Amino acid sequence: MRRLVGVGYRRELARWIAARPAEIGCLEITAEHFFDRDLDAVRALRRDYPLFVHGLGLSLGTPGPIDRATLDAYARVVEAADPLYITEHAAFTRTRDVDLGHLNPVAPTLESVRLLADHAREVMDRCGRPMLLENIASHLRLRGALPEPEFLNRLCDAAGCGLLLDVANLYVNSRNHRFDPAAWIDAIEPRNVAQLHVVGYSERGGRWHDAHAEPIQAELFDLTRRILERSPVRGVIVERDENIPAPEELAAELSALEAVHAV
Amino acid sequence: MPSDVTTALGRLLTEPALRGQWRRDPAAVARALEADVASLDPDELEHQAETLLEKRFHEAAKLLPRTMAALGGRAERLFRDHAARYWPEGHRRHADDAIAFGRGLLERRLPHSRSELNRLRFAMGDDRFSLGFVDDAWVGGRARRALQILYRRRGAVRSLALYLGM
Repeated sequence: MRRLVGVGYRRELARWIAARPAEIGCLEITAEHFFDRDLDAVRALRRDYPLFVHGLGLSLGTPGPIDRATLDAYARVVEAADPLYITEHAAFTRTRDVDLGHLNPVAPTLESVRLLADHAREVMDRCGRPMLLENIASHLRLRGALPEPEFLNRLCDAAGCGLLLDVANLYVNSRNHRFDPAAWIDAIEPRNVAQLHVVGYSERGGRWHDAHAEPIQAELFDLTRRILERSPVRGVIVERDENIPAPEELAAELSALEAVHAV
Repeated sequence: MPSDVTTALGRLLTEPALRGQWRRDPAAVARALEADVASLDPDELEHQAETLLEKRFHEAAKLLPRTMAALGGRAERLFRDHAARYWPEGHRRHADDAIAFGRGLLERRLPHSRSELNRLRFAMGDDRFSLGFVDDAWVGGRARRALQILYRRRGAVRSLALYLGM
């Protein structure tokens, strides 16, 4: 199985991506970015690259039914993209009262495992694609019976899904909450990890952030290598949203990740 | 119960006054919310709430850069005032947030870029064409009074400014 290295599709990169540079082996598209757009744009990308479809707003950790309109829109993008995997976060963005707009943690409990697994299975049934769930970065930790790796392992088993392991989120959490990210990786069931997100972390005022704004730092390459040595990862995505660099700089980063693969 | 914790967290993260009460008496607020939130770390909760606001401000600033520049050092405080009263919903939330913020500035006659706000509202609507007078159209490297014409072409928003020499 060939591992694929690529980028998250962003408008700023559209021209470079359309030129089909050799460094880009796959693309991840964010479903919400295409909810209001002509899906021929997605079909065109599919012709050129293997795709992953990433969700931000299904809010799988919210009790109760998944928002129908969001799931329908997500499924339409998936159908147009014909992706290798569909992905979302093991988190919530909405409650019954308010749309928080960003990712928040769920309590690491068996009840949360059941809730997330039920919702993940519903999304997989609706979309007809295998799903990966992503670990989030969060300043807030909720108390629960399960350490995070065990929580994610149980979630993958219960939902029949895999893990999209965000290396930057792991690193940021390890600094803010003071734990060993290598031990965290070692506690994850290797066969679960099918995709990685990698982007540089940010630090200000003694707190670490997943701002998606920096080049990948050496510590993150080390963690990426550790995961790739253990797990059958299918795709590695560089997830820049801010300070998007010139194509040649991003191409160099992708080549460096390819070199990690080759080790 | 996850349902209680999720809903309670949503309120704690979006209501600064409730967070204040929780800091003073976490057990009482947890009882009132009927959720196991008494043992949260106060600093972590505050950082998480702050992160949600920072991300909203950051996204609004990307959509309204000239408005934020016009507000200068007041921009973040004014946005926080707005953010405490309004939480946008759905996948267009960043644009809705920026538009609501801009509308509030307009109503209070605070500095803003009318042409920028017009363009964003047009982009988020369904109209094919829009006309309006603005006093900050960017023409020849400076802001001028002009007729702003907005239209769609191949799905993208285009704009023209007819400079009237006023």
